[in-house]
Parts: sequence; structure tokens; C-alpha cells
Amino acid sequence: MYQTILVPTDGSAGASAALDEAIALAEKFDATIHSLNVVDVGAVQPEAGAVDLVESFERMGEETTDAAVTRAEDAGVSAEGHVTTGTAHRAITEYVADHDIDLVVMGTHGRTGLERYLLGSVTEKVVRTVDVPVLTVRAPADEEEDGAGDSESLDGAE
Amino acid sequence: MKFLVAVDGSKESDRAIDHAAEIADAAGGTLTVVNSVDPDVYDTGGSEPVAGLSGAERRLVVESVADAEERGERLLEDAVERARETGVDAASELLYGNPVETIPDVAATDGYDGVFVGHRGLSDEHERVLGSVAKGLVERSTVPVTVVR
Repeated sequence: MYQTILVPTDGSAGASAALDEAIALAEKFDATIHSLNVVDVGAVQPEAGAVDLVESFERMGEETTDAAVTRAEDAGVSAEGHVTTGTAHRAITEYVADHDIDLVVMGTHGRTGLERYLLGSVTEKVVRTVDVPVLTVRAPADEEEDGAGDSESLDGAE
Repeated sequence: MKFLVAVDGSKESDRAIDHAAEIADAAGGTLTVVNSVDPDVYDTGGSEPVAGLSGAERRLVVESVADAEERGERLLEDAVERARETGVDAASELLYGNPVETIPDVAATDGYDGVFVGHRGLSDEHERVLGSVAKGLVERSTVPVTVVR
């Protein structure tokens, strides 16, 4: 049964759809939601200002997880937010082990080609490496040819 | 709520059934177990030289599909029994075609709330060679997919 549900978030439309699904499940099973944002330090070049950059990513991560926690709590679901640094899928796998997570809920983009490869690869890696069930949710905007979801998910991936 | 479970008779697919049954039970929902008979797999003639007995050749292919159907039906019977033992209401459906296409289609068309599938946790290399139904479902399904280890 699901008691502790992890929803990794990058602020994208996919992560938002995943959160909605997680909230619905948490209501049903009286579970707690953990919202996790991973600041990928590998993406930051070790130059002057790198520390500032990581700090500003962390602040953005906190805003994203705070918003997720608020959305869960507004639905009457208990939730907590965390920001960590590392490579996304490794940080998620570690978090699952350290926090007794029963289920991971993640967004997929369901597109073809390079975009899916880039944006969907974290979900794919997590599916392959995590021992607990992974629930994947398609972002609604994906069903349209092109939509407002695009700019949103790109913002999140930046 | 109603859920689909993709089954293939593997340990991982048994775990997917158990997990889905638990969730369906708690959610007051029902399960439908599905197996997709994929005739493509049996279409290849293999490396044997064709002796010109095209009738026999065709028969072999036809029998293989019949075998696959029979195997699918058996898998589904076992799966339904396994699910019902947990007290959940379960049915089955045999599909025809590539599971990565047929299962998401049925899930969307028949209004399922979720799809459950087992995953073997293959290495990158294995997966590149063999592919994975779980991965294909995650990519194609518009209905949420739960991948169970």
C-alpha cells in the first residue's frame, strides 16, 4: 500500500500532472507526499559565480516544492518539500531508499525524437533503477500537436 | 476505478498482478488482465531453407499462432485466479498485436484508470537489444502506467 509517495518535480507540465495523480492517490490511501527538486550540479560549470548559480537554482527548487506542498495541503493531503543536489535519477533513487518511499510518481512527455530523449530520460532511468513501483503520468498538453505546455516544460528543464 | 494489468507469465508480471490487486482492492476497483498475442513474432521463417512445401510452411505459422493463443489464454486464466485469490473482482481479455500498441489503445478506448506492468530491471545493454514492454507502455500510454519490479 502507498503511505509515502515521492513526486520529483522540475516545475514542468509533466511534473504537475504527476502531482495531481499523486494527490488523488494520497487522498485515497491517506498517504504523505514528498516533493523533491534535484539541482543538477553537473550542469553548472565550475567557474566564478557557480556557487551563486547553485544557490539560485536551490531557491527556485524551494519555490517549486513549496508550491507543490501548498497544492497537496489545499487538497487536504499532508506533504513535505525537499531540495537536494546531484544527478537527478541518482538523487531520486537515494531519496527513495532513505525515506521509505512506496511509490514514485513522475511525468512523461511521450514525444518522439530528441525532445523526448532529453526531457523524458530521467523518468526512464528512474523506472530502471528504483525498486519500488513507478507511476508515470503523461502531461495533458502532450496530446496536442503543439501547446502552451511547451514553454512551461522548457522553463522547468532550463 | 478499473485497472489493466499486462501479463506474460513472468515473476515480474505476477508481482504486477499482486500489486495491482492490492491497489484495486483498496480503491474499490476491478482488474482486467490482458495478454497480447503478437503474430509478428511467429511470422519469421527462421534460417531453415524453404523446401518448397509452402503448404507445410504456412501450417507451421498457423499452428504457432494457435499455440501463442493457447499460451495467452492459460496465462490469463492463471492471472485471473491469482487476482481473485486476493478478493478483487477480475476479468481477462486476449488481445492481438504488438502489446506496446494494443494495451495503450484498449486502456484509452475502454476508459481504464491505470495500467500495471512488471519490469525485469534489465541492464541498459539488454534493454537496447530486447526492448521492454514496460518502457514502450510508459512511452505510448495516455493512461497512467505503474511499472512494478
